[in-house]
Amino acid sequence: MRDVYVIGVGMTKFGNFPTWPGVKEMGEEACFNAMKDANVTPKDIEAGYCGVVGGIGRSQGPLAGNLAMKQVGVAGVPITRCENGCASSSTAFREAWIAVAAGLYDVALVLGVEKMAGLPTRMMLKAMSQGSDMEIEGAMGMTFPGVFGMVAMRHMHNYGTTREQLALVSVKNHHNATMNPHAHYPKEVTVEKVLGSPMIAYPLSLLDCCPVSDGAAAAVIASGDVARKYTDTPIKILTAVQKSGTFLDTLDISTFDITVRAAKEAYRAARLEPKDIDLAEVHDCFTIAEILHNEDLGFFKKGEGGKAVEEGETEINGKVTINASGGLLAKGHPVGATGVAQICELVWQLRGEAGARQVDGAEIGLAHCMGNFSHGDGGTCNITILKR
Amino acid sequence: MSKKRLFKEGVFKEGSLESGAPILVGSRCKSCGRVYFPKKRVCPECMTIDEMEEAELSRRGKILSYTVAYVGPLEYAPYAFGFVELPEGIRVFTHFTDCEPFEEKLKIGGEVELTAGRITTEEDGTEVIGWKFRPIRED
Repeated sequence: MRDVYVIGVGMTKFGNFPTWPGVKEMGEEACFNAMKDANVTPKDIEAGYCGVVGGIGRSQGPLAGNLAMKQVGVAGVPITRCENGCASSSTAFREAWIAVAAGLYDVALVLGVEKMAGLPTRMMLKAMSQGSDMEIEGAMGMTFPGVFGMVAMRHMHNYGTTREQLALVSVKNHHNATMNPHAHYPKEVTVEKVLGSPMIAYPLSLLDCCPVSDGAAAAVIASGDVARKYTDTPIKILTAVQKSGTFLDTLDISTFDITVRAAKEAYRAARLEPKDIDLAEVHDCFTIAEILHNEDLGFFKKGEGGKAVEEGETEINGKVTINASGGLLAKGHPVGATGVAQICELVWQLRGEAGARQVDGAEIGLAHCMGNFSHGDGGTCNITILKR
Repeated sequence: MSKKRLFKEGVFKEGSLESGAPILVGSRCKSCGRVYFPKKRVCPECMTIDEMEEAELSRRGKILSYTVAYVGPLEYAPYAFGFVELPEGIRVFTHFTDCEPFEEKLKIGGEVELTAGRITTEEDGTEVIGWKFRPIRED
């Protein structure tokens, strides 16, 4: 396997764009920004990978990558759609890394894109339930806020985690988003405001949940043989690990076993420990998710994730910076775009280009992305570790 | 009289729904004895196909966790759902019923028993029937 580097990233602002731009235009902007950042032209790109869920609102699925990449002159080369629910573009990133590491290509373009706005909430929740066992859980009206409501109830029961601790995750991530020009909700919120927002799935209220967003993010990756031809600041991909769920009847739902297993392999492959990570973009689709994943990634002891937020350990320049970008909760969560958007944030941080939200001396960053859920387990978990 | 249909065929023991004491049925591998729910054909442990017998599941279990959805795809809300663990080690996703106020009636680890009821009503008026669990009264 060859060394592989991220040589350019770019994204759109995340938001709610009912009429324009669409999938093609958002993909166009993100790909252009990433290609300019990487100093590549269309003829340098040997393959494209696109993460998109599709089938939601006006999000085109099967041809989204091809149509968006054609906008920036990338056409005729192999282009592959990757779909793993909310882990779609983290999967696309990993597939591109594998192909470049294996020596098949020297330069590849990865895009994540999703168009979700404009659909009534009930229809959105029904569409999203395809990411569960549709015949049983979906048919009975299981929702993703409900999944994480169950997870929260069990975590509170086992470890005494409080609703105030959950709310503090939202407060922190919204604060970070005020410093991110790409964020969907760059607005401060307070614990009182989170607790007072409408109940969605007990004990989670509206501001415990990520928004429904539109957006796109892209990255250009290159082999070690050519990376320095294009940039002086290549960011090394130490590893990109994927695990799927086991869906065992015995799984504890106050732990994401899939994250524990992916993290173990990622640290081993990168020859690192949790304490070596300066910052992480963690899949905070709901406030409780960030608390669980922080524990399961090994940043805190099991059951102490709530306390860690309370004590400021996950703030920018805390013990480990979690979701400097604002995370899914405040930067937004256009599902197919999220994985690559996490990579964009890590790259900007590791290059020292993150402005007011810059983590001092950031050298190693971790991106964690989880998609789909059934029977108490996630469907897919991707962990990517990058180094300056 | 409105039409009714099961939300998934083959999950109840024949006749048990009509009797008022529904029983869920899964598959038991004839070789290794493992129980699966819902019914399935392959035992991955033994790598056999169609070597299963019908297994009746316990009607009582304990709540692993629950939530109450105030927003959801069904035509009514709020509704309570969660996972129930049965003594044979089977985890079942389910609606909860007869559980209001839920803060009092639903407890993690609390005992529940199997029942059945309407999950949703389709556009033509057909009632879709599924399994549900209800808290066992302690009095």
